[in-house]
Amino acid sequence: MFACIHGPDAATLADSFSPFVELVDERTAVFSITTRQLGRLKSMRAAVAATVEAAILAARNLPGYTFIPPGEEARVLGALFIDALPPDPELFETFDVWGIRSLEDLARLPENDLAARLGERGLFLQKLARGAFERPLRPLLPASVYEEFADLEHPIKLREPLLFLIARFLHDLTARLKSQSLAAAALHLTLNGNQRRHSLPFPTRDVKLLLKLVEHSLERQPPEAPVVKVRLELIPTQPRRIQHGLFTPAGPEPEKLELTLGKIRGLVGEKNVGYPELFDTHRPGSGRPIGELLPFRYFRPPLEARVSATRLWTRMFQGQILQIGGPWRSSGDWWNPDPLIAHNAAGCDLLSAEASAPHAVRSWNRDEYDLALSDGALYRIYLDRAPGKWFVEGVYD
Amino acid sequence: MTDFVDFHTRSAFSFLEAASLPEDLVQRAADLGHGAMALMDRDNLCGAPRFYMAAKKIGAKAHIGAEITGEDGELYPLLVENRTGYQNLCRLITSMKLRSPKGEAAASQEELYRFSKGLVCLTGEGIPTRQRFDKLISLFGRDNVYAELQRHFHRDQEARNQAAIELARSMQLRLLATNGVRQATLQERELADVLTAVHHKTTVMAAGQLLARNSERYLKSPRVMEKLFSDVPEAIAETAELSARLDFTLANLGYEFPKYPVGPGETMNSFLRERTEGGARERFRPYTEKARRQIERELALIEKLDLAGYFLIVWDLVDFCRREKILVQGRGSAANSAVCYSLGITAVDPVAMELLFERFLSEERGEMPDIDLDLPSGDQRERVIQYVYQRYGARGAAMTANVITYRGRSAARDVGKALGFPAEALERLSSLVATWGWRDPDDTAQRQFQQAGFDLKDPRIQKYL
Repeated sequence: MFACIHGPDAATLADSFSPFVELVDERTAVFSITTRQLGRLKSMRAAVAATVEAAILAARNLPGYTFIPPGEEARVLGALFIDALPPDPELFETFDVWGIRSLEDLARLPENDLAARLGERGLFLQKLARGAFERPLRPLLPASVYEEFADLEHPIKLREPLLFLIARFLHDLTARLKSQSLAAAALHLTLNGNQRRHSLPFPTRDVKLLLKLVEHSLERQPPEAPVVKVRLELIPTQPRRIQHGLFTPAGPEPEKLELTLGKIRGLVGEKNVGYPELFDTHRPGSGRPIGELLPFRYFRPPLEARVSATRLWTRMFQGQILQIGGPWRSSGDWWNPDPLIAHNAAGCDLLSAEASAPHAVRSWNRDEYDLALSDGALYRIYLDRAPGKWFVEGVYD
Repeated sequence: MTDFVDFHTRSAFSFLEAASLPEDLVQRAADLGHGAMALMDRDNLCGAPRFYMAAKKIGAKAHIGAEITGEDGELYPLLVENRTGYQNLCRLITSMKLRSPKGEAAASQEELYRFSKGLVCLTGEGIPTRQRFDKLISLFGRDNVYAELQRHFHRDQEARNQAAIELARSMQLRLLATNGVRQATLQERELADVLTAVHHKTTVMAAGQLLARNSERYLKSPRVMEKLFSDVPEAIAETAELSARLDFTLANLGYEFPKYPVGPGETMNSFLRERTEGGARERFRPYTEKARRQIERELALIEKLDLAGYFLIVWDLVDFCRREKILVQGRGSAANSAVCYSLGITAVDPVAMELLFERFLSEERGEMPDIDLDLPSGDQRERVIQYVYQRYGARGAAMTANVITYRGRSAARDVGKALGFPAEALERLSSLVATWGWRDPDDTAQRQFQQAGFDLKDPRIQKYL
C-alpha cells in the first residue's frame, strides 16, 4: 500500500514513516506503508491506496484521512471534479465539450473509443481517474559521489602499478554505478593534486575502456613526479540505451572509435584531430563538384602560369595547347573583397581555422578552362579576374 | 542588329527571386537594342501590367508569361500566345493558388492539361530527358514546346544543353535560346543575392549554395547572345519567329462588364431605366425638369458605354443590404451621379448640389467607372461578400489584394539583416534611412553613417551605401 501526505510539512512527516519518500511537490509526499503504521496517519490529511497516483489524488483533493480499499479506487475518486487531474488544457476543453465534469464521468467512457479520439494521453487520464494507473515509487535518494582516494606510503614511479591501482578503483566505482543503474559521463583523475578531466562521448561502465583512456592519457602526458596521491572520480549519468535498426548500417562502435581517436590525439596532438566537412559554398574547390565526371587532383597551392593562345608555361611543366573548353565562370562572397588573398582562394586557405569562419572568406571571381596539353594531360587552369593572373589548379586523372 | 528576343526574364514580382523592377528591365532591354521581351514571373502575373505599360511607352513589344510550379517539382515556363492563352494562364494560376496555402501552390498535371490551350511551353532549366519532353508534348502539343538553352558558363549547364540539343533534334523540337534573367544589370547580382538571403531568412554569409554561382543572369544585348550561341544559330533565330507568333498583348483584354440577369422582354438598359425612374420619383422631391434631364443624359452615356450591367449589379448589392438591414453608403465620385442617387447607392442630391457628373464618368477619359460602397466591418460585411459570391459565382467575383512592396525603412532593415548586421545596428540603420535626403551637399549618406557610429571601411557598409 502507498500513503500520501498532503500539507505544509508533508516531507518531514513522511520521513518519520519511511526513508524512501517521493516528494511530488513541496506539500505532497508519497511513501510505502505497512498496515501497522496506518493508525498514525489518521490525524493527518492523508490517503492510503493500492496505487501511488490514487493515493496522491485522494490526499490532495479529499479532506482529512482517506483509506481506499483495493478495488474501490474508481468509486472513491469518482466524485472528484475533472480538474483534480494533472492539467491538460486541450483535453480539458474537449472534456468540457463532451460534458465530462467528474472523474466518474471520465472513468465510465469506453476505453477503445476514448483511445481512438484522444490517444495515449486520454487513456492515461482515464486510468488516473479510475485510480488504476500503476507506477513504482520514485524516492528521492541522496546524491552519491563516486570517488576513490589513496594516499600512498611509497610513491609510484612506473605506469603499470599506477594503472593497477586505478583499475581497482574503476572496478569498485563502476560496481557502485551499476547498483544504481547509472553509468559514467566523465572521468576525473587527480594525481598529486593535478586534475585531468576526460569527458566521455557516451555513458559507459566498461572498465577496460575507461582504463585504456587513462592509459592513453598517461602516455600522452606522464605525471611530472612520482605519484603519492591518487583520486579518481566518475561523474554519474543515465546509461546509454540504443536500439539497433535492422536495416541501418552500423557505424563504428563508439567505444572503439573513442579509443582510436584517443590514439590519434596522442600521435598528432589534441587540436589536430577532426573530420572532413564540405563547405556550403560555390567557391571552387571547397564544395561538391558540379558536373565533373573525372577525378581531379588539386595542386596546393595552385601553380602560377603564363598562357598564350597556343601554349602554357609553369615552373613545373609547359606545353602546347591542343584543345580548350570553357570558360566556366564563378564568383561570390562579393561582400568581403580582399584582392590580397584572392589569388589563393582555391581551397587551400579554406582549411585554415581563420578562413573557416563565415566572415573570413574572401570574394572570388574567376574563369576556368579545361586544357588538353601536348604532354598528354588534361589540366584545369583559371584566370583570377581580380589580379588578372593565370593559375593551373590541378590535373584530371 | 540581331533579332534575339529574351523570353525567360523574371522581375522583382517573382517576389525575392529576382532583383529588377519590370520598368527597369524594359528600359535596360531597350538600351541594349531589344525590340521585344517577355516577362515570366514565378507563379503570378502581378508585374505584367507595369511591364506592358513601360514597354508601350517606348514602343517595344511586351510578351506575357509565367513560370508555373508543377506538383512534380518541375517548373513550367509558359508564354501566352493569344487571348485564350492569357485566360487559361490566369485560370491556371487561380486554380492552383485557391486550393493551396500561401506560397505552396503547385499545378497538377490535370490543371496544366486543362488550361494548356493558347500557351507555349519552354522546357526550362531542368535536366532534359526524353520522358520530360514527351510529357510536355502530350500536355501542350509538339508545336507549342520549345527546347530551351541557357548559357551562364557552368559546366553542368553546358552538359544539359548538349543533351537538350541532341534530344530536341531527335524529337523534332525547336531550340530556343534564353538568358534566364534575374536582374537588369551585372551589378544587381549583389541585390539578387541579398534578396535570396531575405527569401531564405538567412544572411548572405550563411546562404552558401543558395546564392548565385556567378553574375551572368543579367540582361545581355542581342549581339552578345548571338555570339554566345554562335554554335546553335537556329536557337537565336527561333526567338524572332516565336515573337512574331505570340500576338497577344495586354492592350485589349476583351473585358466585358458582367451582365445582370433581367426578365424576358427586357434589356439591361430598359431595366436600369425603369429602376432609375422609379427611384428618382421617390428621391428627388420635387422631381424637377433639371433632374430629369440630368438622369436622361447619364442614362444615355451609360447605354452608350454599355455599363448598365455594372450599375445594376451595384444596385443589386445596395438593395440586398437594404433588405438585410445592413448599413450601406456609396461614396467618392459616384456621389456626382444622379443615377446613383436615384438607385439609392449614394445619399447626396447631385442636382441640387450642382455636382459635376463628368468627374464620375466621362466618355473622353475612357476610364472605367468605380463605385465604392462603405459597409460595416465584421459579420455584416462578410454576409454581403458571401451574397456576391453566391449570386455571381465563386470564380465570378473576387477580393482584390495589395502587394506590399519595400519602402526605405523596411528595405534598409531587411538588407541590413541579410548583410549580417547585429540587431542594434539594424535599428540605427533603419532610423538613418528616414533621414536620407541629401539636403545640403556636405550632408552625405557617408557622413550620416559615420556620425551614427558605423565604420565606413567595413565592406558591408560600403555595399550598403
